[in-house]
Amino acid sequence: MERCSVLCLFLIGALLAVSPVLGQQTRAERWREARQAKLDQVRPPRTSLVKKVARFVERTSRLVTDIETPRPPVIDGVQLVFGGLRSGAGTTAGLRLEPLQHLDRLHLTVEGRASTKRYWGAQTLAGYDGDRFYGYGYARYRHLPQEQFYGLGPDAPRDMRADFGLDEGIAGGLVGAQVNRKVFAGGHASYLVNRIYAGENDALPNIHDQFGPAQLPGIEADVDYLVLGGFAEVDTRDVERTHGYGSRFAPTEGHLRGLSLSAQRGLYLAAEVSQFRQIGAGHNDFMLLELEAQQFIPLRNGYQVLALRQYAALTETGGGNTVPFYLMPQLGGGDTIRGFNNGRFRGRNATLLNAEFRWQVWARLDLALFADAGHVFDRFEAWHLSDAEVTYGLGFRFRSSPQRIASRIDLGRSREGFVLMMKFGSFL
Amino acid sequence: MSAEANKARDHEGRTGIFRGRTLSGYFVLLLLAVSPSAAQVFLPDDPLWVDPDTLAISPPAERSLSDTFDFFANTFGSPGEHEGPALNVNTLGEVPNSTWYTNRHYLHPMPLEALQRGPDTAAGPSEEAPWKVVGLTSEGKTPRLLMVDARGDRYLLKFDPKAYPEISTAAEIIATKFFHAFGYNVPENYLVYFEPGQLETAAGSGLTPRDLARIVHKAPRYPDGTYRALASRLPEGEPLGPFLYHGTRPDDPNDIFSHEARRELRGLRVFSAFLNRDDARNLNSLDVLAGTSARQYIRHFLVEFSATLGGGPLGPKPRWAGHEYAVEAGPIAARTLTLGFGGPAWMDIVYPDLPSVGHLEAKHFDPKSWVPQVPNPAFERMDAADAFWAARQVMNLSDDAIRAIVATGGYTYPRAEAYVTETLMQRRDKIGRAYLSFAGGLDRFRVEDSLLVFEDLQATYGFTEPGRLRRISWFVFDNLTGEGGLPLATVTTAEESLPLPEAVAPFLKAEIETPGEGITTVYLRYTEAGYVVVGIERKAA
Repeated sequence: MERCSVLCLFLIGALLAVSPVLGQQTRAERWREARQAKLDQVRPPRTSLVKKVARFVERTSRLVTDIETPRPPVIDGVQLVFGGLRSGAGTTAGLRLEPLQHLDRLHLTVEGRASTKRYWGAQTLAGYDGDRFYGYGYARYRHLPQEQFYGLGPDAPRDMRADFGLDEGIAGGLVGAQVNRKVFAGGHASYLVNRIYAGENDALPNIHDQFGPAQLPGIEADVDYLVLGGFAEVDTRDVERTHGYGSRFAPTEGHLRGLSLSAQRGLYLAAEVSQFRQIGAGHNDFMLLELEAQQFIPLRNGYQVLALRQYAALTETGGGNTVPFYLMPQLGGGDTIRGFNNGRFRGRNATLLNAEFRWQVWARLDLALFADAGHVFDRFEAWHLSDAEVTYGLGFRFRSSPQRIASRIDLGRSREGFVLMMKFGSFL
Repeated sequence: MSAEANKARDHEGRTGIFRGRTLSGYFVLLLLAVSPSAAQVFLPDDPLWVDPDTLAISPPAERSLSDTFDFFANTFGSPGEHEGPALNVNTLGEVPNSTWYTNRHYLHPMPLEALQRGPDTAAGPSEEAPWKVVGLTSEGKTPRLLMVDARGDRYLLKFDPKAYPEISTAAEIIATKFFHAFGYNVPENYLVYFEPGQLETAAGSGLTPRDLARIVHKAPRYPDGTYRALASRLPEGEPLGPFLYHGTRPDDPNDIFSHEARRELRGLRVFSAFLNRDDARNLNSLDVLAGTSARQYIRHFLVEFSATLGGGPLGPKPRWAGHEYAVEAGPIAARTLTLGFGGPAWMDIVYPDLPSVGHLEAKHFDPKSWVPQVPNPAFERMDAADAFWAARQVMNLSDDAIRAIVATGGYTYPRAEAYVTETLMQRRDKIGRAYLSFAGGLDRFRVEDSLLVFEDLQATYGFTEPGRLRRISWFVFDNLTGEGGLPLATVTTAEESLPLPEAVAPFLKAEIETPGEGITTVYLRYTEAGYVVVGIERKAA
């Protein structure tokens, strides 16, 4: 039996050895043959038109929307910029030149922008961004030919809408220091020039025809100012600070911003006092005090957020002085009471309450239910809670990343109807 | 062997006509063994361990993908045609070494030093001269610097977000080492610490020092004034763009297996779940033209691991990561209508306050329900065999191995390193429990001293009690027809070393049935050196 087994094993080995001769193929040969067969049919990958269009859109949109990344220059050293001139100015674009690219902390920008509503402006900013100290020098000129005005006070009727033109020049400087991780403080000084003229919107009556000097302080003469200000803020929100954050308080910036859309928790407190001292003859000196508090209360680890904001802008004059109407606090629009148009209400003083409940429904989309209450008034005695304009509505916030809201749409409802607003860019 | 098992074995006894071997029987088998037939199951070179996929090709053009198109195609469509089991496996169910994959730690245990070294061949970029920044890329949503060091090697520098030091660079280093150990082609990734003066713009780059400063200043700075980055060395060869997780590349004759039918791409789902790599999509892969000028072929890399573990280049991952695809209509509608109160339980997960770790945890981790951001055609087709193939590799990572690899992440805070280590150990164990029971969870089959030896992986890792009874049925296997053939013996035993039948045949088959879990079928081929394992099939209960 053993001899038989040995014989069989020998035969097995011998036959296995000659099996290729008998036509037995290996696995590797089979796979190699399949590849040889494909070699004869090789063709370049086809890219459909849809894919090409999608790829093109991705590349071009990155130039516009990816504001985190230095954009390729249009011309050497010159970049294309969008928006940033004025809310309500229409579609805006311009060019920015940054000639001090070789320096680290120091920078200089020169830019010009223009809009489809014939707004235009030019600005230069030279500054130092340190880890702790910041300093800016700024100069800006803006031509704003179609500013809207409805009258002063909470009862200004909508059908009194008129327009005016404002050319504004400002030059000055700001210094600030990061006191600690959460506290920032500083001051600024500026020279401010304002020139009022007839608005260029032919569909609206001119402000001079609609309102008289008795109704509108500052309309009868141009006023130049020396502006001195000081500010401080405490910020514990979970939004990342960036260099240049202090420029938020520069007079070139719009102070009354919207609620932070990216914050999920924390507190923001800011106080700023500015003294407007008229240069030359006239009685237009005043002091502006702005107070703001924002609180963000996270629910479900921040997937739901209750955001609250209180804001007050109060002016103080003495000795028969007045505040020019175009420098008065104003309410209306996407950052204040969202059921009214931009600049719908103006007055010497303004208070504002915002409450917003937002929740993430998708990685790229938050929804928000909001309610706003705003009130402008001439004297403190005239402030009544019942006089506040109340709006409410629904908002959509679009995220460019998990940490960042890139744009928003708000549909607000007020006693004057619905207003739809869209905004792009970063929000503090 | 337990007394109970011996009793069962004696009771079953041996069956089959080969109990008394006859000469005629041998010759029948011999003839069957050598008859050429295309239908034969095992070919002479089975199991194949090297896929000959380096046929010389003409250099293909670089392929540029649209991430947006891919997103919509994968979210609202179902790319890929192959349905059924993986095709590029050998007769053991293993993935042969190829331009896609190299068997490493599971089959050839790597010492801890090798695991820590991963794919690295050097110590990182040379610091003998300033690094010349030659370009900028923002493909990954955040700007990265493309630079050349003094040796002329090209690296991509990636940074952490300012508020979350180390969250992304540590994750990428760690994931690189794990994916290398699992067998994938990955780039060499190094942690570098440098002074800002180490970076200079190269002539013609179109970049200014301000551009560099803007990017670098967004990164966290260490108290000693240095910045930290991940330097990813670009794979040698000409980049040809990403590969797809479905279909084949029409300009690559070596690419004959649909990618959705490749086991290493299907099983990648398990590895991705383990490491929370939720952006395993086309864009994060790379084909490279490799070889010599005389013979060029394509190698396939996984790249971009910055969004693994708990965060990414922008900060902690959204809580969605791993729980939901980017677009799922049902959950979105539910959250919309309920103002967010109707969201799933994972929204309430409380993560540790570790900025360098982000959103990584193990308690709520469910390997089977884990999903990437966008449906992946290969992941969608992962079956139990693919999952088992991958899960046993994850389980093969010892505590020491995980600890050693996580240590390469360079976490400043020991608590962060300890948390990531512990969390990965727990995720590993969950993966093992989820997938290792397939067909009884048996592996590492081999023939030693006339014994068929194997390992019960579930018992090895403590998921089940050792000594489970299994029913083993031996057959002569007809390699030409693929049929089970003549039964030889049937035993019930708890042993993991099974005596081979006394019968000698060209091919034997052993069906090992684990009650309630399935059958693992092992094929043995008779060679000059005796029997060797030539095939393994697994079938769930």
